[in-house]
Amino acid sequence: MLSYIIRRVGYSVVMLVLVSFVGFVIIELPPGDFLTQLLTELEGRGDRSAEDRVTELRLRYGLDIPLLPRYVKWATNFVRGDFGESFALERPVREVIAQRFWLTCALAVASILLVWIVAIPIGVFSATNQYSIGDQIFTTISFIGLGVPGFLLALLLLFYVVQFTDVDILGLFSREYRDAPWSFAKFVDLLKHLWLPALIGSITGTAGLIRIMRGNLLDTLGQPFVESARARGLKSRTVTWKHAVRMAINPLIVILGSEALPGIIVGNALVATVLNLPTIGPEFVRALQRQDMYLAGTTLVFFTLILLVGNLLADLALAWLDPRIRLE
Amino acid sequence: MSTAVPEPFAEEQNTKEISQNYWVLVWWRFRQNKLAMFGGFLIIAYYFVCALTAEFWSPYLVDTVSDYLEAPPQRLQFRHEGRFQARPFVYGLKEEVDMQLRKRFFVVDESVRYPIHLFVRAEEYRLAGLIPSNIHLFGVDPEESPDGYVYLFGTDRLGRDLFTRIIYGGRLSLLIGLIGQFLTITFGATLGVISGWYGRLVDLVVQRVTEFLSAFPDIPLFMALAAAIPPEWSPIAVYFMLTIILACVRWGGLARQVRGLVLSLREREYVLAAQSFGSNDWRVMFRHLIPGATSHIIVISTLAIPGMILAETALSWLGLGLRPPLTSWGVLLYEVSGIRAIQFSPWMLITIPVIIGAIWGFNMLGDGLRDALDPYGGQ
Repeated sequence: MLSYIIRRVGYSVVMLVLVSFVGFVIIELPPGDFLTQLLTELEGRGDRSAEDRVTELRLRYGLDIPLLPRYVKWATNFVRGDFGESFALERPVREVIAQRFWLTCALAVASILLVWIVAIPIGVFSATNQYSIGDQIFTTISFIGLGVPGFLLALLLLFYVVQFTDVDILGLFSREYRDAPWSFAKFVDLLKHLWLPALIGSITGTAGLIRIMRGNLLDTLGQPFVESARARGLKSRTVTWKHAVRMAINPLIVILGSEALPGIIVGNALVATVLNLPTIGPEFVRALQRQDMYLAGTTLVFFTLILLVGNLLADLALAWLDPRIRLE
Repeated sequence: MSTAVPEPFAEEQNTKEISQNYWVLVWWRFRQNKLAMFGGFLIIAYYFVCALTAEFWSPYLVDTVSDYLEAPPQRLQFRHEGRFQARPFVYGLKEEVDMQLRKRFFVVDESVRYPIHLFVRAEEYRLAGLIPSNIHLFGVDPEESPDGYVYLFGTDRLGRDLFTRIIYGGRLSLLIGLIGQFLTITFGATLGVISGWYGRLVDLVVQRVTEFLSAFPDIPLFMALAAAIPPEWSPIAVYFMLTIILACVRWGGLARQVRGLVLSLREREYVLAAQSFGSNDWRVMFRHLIPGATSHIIVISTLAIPGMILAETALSWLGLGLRPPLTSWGVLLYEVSGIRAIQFSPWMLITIPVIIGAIWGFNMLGDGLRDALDPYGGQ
């Protein structure tokens, strides 16, 4: 087990190095970079010292040295926790991300919990009552849910709220708590605002998971060991939940790591942009729109890091839960 | 591939034993699935209307501007002063200014009526870029009411008809799905089959590359790459670059599936037979292995196209993908990205149900194909 964990972690680290290189190349890609834009803008304003300031910035970010050494410099700084500076916000990237990190996590965790709490029972119900009316209703709903991407749904929701109500659904806090220090009341307020984006962001994931759970459980229910459990006179509920679901849920752990998590992060990024939430997603979008590439590249690497960790945890959890998996 | 008719179809064929081609069996099976048939029909309709004959179905041309900026949708009327009218019409629009909001807006002006005709002769266009014509499915007759107009879905900020623009917008959005998926199949199937057939080092490299690609969350990666497209490129160059980016990021999944299939197909006798007859590697791969994987490729692709369309929509909506003067569904949504826009011109959101319809169509079709392409199993 230990050697498996070490190998798996090592693999993730190698992946991360490669990913960070791509992230860096993306930072470098735009030919009309932010500094050039800044230069034209400053000159347009008649700023005489524009040239000097931009040259100074260029030196500070080491934009005058070749690509590879610059990557090494960037990467070593990255490891030390210095992610460069956001040109547009004129603040260190680390601060920008750190400020939004916990709310992003809260939203992702809320979405994942929602996905599992909703999808597993429905999937189990659909499989144990195959072709019943309930199954058909759920199958139809999940089918429809798969086709409605969260951000389009969020736009429609925004339309509904703006046109027919006067609820303030933008952001994660009510106005009076927005700048207030943390307190229990603020936490409750956060929960009040969190469920809706979490729900919207998890719809595609939930719909997908219901279908997978249903399919897996149907396969498992047909197997001899389930039959023999029934023959031993166990209660139907015990057979379903303790024997069949236990087996059918294993692949879902992998799916959680490899598909649900990215889906939720990405889906939430777009939904959060619509609803203007103080999470990392909208900041990433804004950074790209402004070609603020240090912020954008770092965020991309950061997203990928979350995915790699998610995959890693899913693999480890599966190795731990499913004794049939050989670790060689 | 041929076999005796399976039980369920025996009746249909007058109990006579005949051999049936694989694709005939697929068609029989597919035809029985109402939902899949509906999905397929929907998709054909979408492509026919938006991609091929958009000019005919829309009352205006995509860039026809008017003085009616941000006009709300006009409702098609059948009754006038309590009496039913055989010919539907729309009321005119009247501009008013809201002093409080300092905003102009339009209200219905019941004193003006514009009858709607079918097959009106209006602006000239070339159907599918070839056949010159000026017939539009519906519209106001320019001779009968020279200053008439019909905006069933309202207009955008430049006074262009949204109904027209949604139909035209589908052209780029739907084609990006098709072209992007075509490129994905080209990369994915080729690399997948090479990886599965040669194995060893080639396999290792291809597998690591696909794993590497799947490590990224795809939409943020699209966004970052799309943001890097030089803004001074021509719109068409941006369009093709975007398609290539989509395909480059998405081919990994398909390659893995094809590789898996090839690994099982390569052990079959017919492959051995082909080799013993002296077929070289390329012939075996592209004449024997890829056709063996075709049904899987079709299913995966059908279910992947909506993802491509949505990726384009999301990118353009954020202003990172296609930009005006191109018109796509995403570009139309870009115009309603702010909350003010949603408040004052909510009809621009009509684009969303249209997009969702296309996505459902593909999902239904793909699901049905998955069942139908495996005609020997099941039942």
